[in-house]
Amino acid sequence: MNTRQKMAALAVVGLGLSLTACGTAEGDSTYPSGAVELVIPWDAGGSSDLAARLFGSHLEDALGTTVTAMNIPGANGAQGWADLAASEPDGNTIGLITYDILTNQAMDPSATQLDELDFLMQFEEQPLALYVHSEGDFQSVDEIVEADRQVTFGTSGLGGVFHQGAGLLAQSVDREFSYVPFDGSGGQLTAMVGQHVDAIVISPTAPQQYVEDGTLLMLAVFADERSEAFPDVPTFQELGYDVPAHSSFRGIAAPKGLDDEVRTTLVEALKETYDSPEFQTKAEDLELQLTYLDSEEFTGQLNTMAPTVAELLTNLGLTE
Amino acid sequence: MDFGQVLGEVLNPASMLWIMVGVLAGLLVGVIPGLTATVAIALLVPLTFNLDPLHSLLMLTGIFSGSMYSNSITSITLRTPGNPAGAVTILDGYPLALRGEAGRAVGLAAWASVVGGLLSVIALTFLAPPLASIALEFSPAEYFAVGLLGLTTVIAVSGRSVPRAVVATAFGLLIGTVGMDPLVTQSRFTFGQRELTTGIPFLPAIIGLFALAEVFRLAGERHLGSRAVATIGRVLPTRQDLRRTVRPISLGSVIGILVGILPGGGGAMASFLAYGESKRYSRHPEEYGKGSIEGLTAADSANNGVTGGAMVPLLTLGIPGDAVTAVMLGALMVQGIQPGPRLFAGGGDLVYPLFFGMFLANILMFVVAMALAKPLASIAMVPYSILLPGIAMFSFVGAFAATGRVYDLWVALAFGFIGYLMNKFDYSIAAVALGLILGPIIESNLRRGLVMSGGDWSIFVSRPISLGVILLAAALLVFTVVQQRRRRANAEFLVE
Repeated sequence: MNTRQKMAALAVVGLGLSLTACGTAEGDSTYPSGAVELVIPWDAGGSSDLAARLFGSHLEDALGTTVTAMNIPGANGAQGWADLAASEPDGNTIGLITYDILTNQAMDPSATQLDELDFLMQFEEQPLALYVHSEGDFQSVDEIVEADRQVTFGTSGLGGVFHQGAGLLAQSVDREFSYVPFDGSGGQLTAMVGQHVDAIVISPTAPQQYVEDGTLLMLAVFADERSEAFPDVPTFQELGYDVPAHSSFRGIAAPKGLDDEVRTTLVEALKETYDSPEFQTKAEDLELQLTYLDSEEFTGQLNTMAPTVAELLTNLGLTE
Repeated sequence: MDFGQVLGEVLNPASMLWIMVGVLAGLLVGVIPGLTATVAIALLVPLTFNLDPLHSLLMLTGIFSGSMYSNSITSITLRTPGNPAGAVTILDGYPLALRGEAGRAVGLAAWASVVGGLLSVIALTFLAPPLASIALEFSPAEYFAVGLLGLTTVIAVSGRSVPRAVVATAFGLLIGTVGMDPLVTQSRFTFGQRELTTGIPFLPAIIGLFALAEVFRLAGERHLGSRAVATIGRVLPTRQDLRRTVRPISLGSVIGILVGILPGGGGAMASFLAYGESKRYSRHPEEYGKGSIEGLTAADSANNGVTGGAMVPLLTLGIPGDAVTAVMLGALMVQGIQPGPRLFAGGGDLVYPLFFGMFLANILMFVVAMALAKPLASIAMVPYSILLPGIAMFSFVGAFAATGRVYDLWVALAFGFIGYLMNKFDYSIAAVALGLILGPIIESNLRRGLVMSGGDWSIFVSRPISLGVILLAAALLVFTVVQQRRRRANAEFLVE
């Protein structure tokens, strides 16, 4: 559901009601002078939407103004990011950034490129992990890598971040897997729990309770170091596989060209939001993996990852 | 948690208030075309951030049930489906309204919805864990088989000519392939139109096929009276109607529950299957499509049976089966609740009050629906001079609100013309809707299955459930064809 859709919905619900138009204050030079729009390039109700809305609602206190969430879904996020990049760089429009911006850039030259946006901060990072069923044919990374039959990986969708994770493993051990795309991570996880695929690569929140009850095994994390949350799970490096770190992440960006003063205020407010105990508590409830990167670190990380993603997608045969 | 505590959690003013708010909001959004339960729930989730977890769930499930029923009202009176399942309600609901029995149709639809809803909550309460294990048994092979089973429904919605209905279904299947290929990066039949990469939008298409096509037809009538009907008849179902609909409602409810627990099933598929099955077992199959209360109630009970069914995988596996429960999962996570085996093992402090609340929501929905049925059904009596522009406006609003793209208005209009021509030449438009719904399910699961098996087709017949469902589909097909032949032979014999 996007803004236009909401407008339509509101227009319908409001039939018969008379609406009074509110004028916006003009000519006020101090930022923020009005409501700040937070572009969410995903459907309302999904996990990214909830994470962004939660962040936005706490950003209101730090900025001292209203933050309105706007869902502009479509084309794997590309629609929302295109709108964000094209918006006025006055600090009144910011947007949620997720891993998919790298995928889009690699797969579609007309999608928003990294240099069109100003990445202000990252607030969440979830290293992905490899899972198998405890009663499945493969119980370790070695068994998957040395399997004498085709290994099937369930994915959340074609070319998505979880597909790419499995692709990274395939690339580093120089073998091919078959990928079965489901509709979203829900279908992917069901197929794993129901033993219809051999393995999945996914972010750890949703499968965690199946690991606890012994249904699934968490074999390895796509990270350089073990995760604090899962200290018993080794990294691929430890197991002797040269698989690069791979994580999904969420951050905030604005269109390029912000005024210095505006940018400073905004960046400070974002950091303040991140540090606020209220946000931290709520984020923990939502099982977000809070990891802060400042603008420079976040931009650097994106630029480092971009060529890797492009190469991987080419190897998977997903670029045109 | 004992039963007394469960009652205490639900039978208090605050919980009852949120159930009420949910049901009323659901009924309201349901009568607005294009505002589906998913849209309504997604819009309201941010409001639940600060609510008590139980209250937030009671409200959201109330919306789910309420909107699933009230969608039927516009389908019956205006031939305008508010959600995809409405396409099946129209088949018999609208002819009933044209006969001056809109009240009867709306009343029976409410009754069927409530029974379907209540049975599904009972199934959810007592059978959730075993039902969830069925959902886990379903691999792409089984989904493909169920999709094939759904296709046999085409005979039930074929109208006068089965061959022409098969052609119409094929057309539906064909346009269902438009858009991005589900397994490789390749767009199909998009002719360079960016909007088409996500496929033909379903709701605008069926709004066009059913509602706009009817507007065009009526506008072309030479001797159109000033209004369709002067009466709506009684609203409260008669004892005789209740007795006649026991079988279709039971059948519809069970089908609704079963399809509901399958991730990706959905109300439209449940309604089609229930409609087709109930016709097969009906003593009056000839009434189907001309205002059969059996067909209407089968479809509507299935539609609401889905509500409890869809909660099964959400609560027991932590896996949402459709768009509505996906949004609910988000609402739960915001509250710090992760549904799944842990939630059930944890003693059900939340789940049992929730089940009882859903039960009450269904009863409350029936009371409110009955109170509002008369004024809502009276829409059918509006003069044509207001009704036709009204339906046209409602159709466009519905097509637009579903996705918010102007492009979809053109889709609705184009399908309006297609529907008009199909009606004129006696091709079943319900068969097109069937193809559109089932096409993507059949295709993606067929291809997923083949990827899993490395291209070996035996995967579809080597698994017991998949093989069983495929054989069932084949048997039903043969049975129906034979039955039809025999009926026709009898009819010819009588004529001679």
